[in-house]
Amino acid sequence: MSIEVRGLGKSFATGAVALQGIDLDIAQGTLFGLLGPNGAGKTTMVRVLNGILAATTGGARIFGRDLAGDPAEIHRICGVMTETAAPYEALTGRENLELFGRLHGLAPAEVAARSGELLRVLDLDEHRDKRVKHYSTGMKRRLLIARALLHRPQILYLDEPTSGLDPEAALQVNQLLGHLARRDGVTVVLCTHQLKYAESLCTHFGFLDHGRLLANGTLAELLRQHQAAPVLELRGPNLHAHADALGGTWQDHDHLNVPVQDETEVPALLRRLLAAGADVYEARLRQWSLEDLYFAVVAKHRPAPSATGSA
Amino acid sequence: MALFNRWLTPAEQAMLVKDARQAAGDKRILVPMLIVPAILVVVLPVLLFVGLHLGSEQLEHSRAGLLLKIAQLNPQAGRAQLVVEMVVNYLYPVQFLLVPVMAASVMAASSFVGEKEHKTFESLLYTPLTVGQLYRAKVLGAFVIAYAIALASFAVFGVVVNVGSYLEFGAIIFPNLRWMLLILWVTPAISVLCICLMVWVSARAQSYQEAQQWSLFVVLPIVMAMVGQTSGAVMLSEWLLVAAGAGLFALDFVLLGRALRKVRPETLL
Repeated sequence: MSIEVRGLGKSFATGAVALQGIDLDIAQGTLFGLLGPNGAGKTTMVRVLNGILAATTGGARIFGRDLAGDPAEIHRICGVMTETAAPYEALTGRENLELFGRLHGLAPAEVAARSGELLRVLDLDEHRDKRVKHYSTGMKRRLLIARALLHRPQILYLDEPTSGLDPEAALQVNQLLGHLARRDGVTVVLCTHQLKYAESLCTHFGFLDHGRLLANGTLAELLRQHQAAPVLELRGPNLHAHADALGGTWQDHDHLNVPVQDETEVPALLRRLLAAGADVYEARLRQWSLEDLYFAVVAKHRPAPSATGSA
Repeated sequence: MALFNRWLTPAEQAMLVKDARQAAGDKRILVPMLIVPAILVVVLPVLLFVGLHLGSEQLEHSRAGLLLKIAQLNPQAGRAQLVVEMVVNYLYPVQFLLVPVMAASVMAASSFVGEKEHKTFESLLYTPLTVGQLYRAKVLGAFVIAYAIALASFAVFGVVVNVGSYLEFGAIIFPNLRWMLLILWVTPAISVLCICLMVWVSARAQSYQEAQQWSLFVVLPIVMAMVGQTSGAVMLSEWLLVAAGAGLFALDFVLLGRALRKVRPETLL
């Protein structure tokens, strides 16, 4: 297991609770999407898992090493890219990578070779000698990714890596992350609030909200855990008479949603419906997306707004 | 270089070089670090000699008490030599300390608070350097640059004073034991003190400007010492410099040790 988290909590001197009771296992080579809105605790979690912030309760092990033991050792095997860890604007892209290569203990020749390779892969080669203050947002983000990869980390934490990137650059970064996980066995923890993006890239997901990890697993596991059955969406002129018998709910005035266990149930259900005299103009099996599931899980865990609180 | 290799790891050296290059490339840092020494060690001494040459007696009248005490110590000296000796060996040494104070404050503010302001400290915290190593590299980096500026200012001041005094009364008067104590003993001590103060400030200030305002607390005692010296209330002596340097080093030792023990990554974010 690359990351094992047990009962992890973090609160600040102000009394604010950023994380509470987090239990999580992430296997090596997993592309893990840590999902949640701004302020959910994603950056705090990355900081705690890198020893930048001390956990208030519980702890974590990174490849078996206790987080509380030697943070320097953790930093050797982890690469981090967050919005809160900026590059040096007065230095060029190449100088930034050279500095961090040296800080990671790489030999000068190795730093030069690795920097060159990453600048090429991330399409920054022609801007290598330009000061970072003249970089666009997307270029800065790619430089930060390069910096995080410089020392060949075994775990990579990335905070919204493709935000601000053009589609071509985003695709390039996503392909790179996929290769790292599948080919090199790098564990990638992707912090994002872009659910569709996470679904397209990640294999495992964790839903973080108000510092609590509401759920985690593969999409299939999460769907099973939350009994999120697929829905057969029906449209027809006389479905009202059959809605109760099917256990369906109306999505709008002419679309009826009927929950089913899986797709094998659909042919028999449609045969029954047609035999009972229903006219079906349209039938579509709709699987839950990660986004559907995320909102359903978050809604279930968030307390309902109190009557007195509403104006 | 060998000394550096013994004291600092390659990673710490890279940090130090980065801080120096960043300072050299930032006008906000570079301008005060060059202008203040230029005024103190070139413009003001040149004005002194020009004034003496033109026969101005303003200095003699305004510092009559101090001049009298110096004349008692050196009865053979002529009028011009007495005035130059008063300025160079009694009034100027305390004033000169503004050079390392300002350079160390600016460097340390840039090195510590500047990192925080530009959100680059967190980037450093994700490297294998411990917070202690980061602090060591940054303190030493700020010190090396501040002390180099002080040494260069000392040398330039020496040239200006010696040329002026040779032309005015045919003698080379700089440096003497007092100035050697000042540059080799008191200047390093006060530079480290300023850096310690900025380390303390770095945990509280959010911007470079805010940190600079705090440096006034170090300048203030120096200004008070200058006033005391100018009025003749305190006579600068070698023993006073030895004692002041020892006191400052003791304070540095306590403050640095305390800063290194207390520093946590959380305070740097």
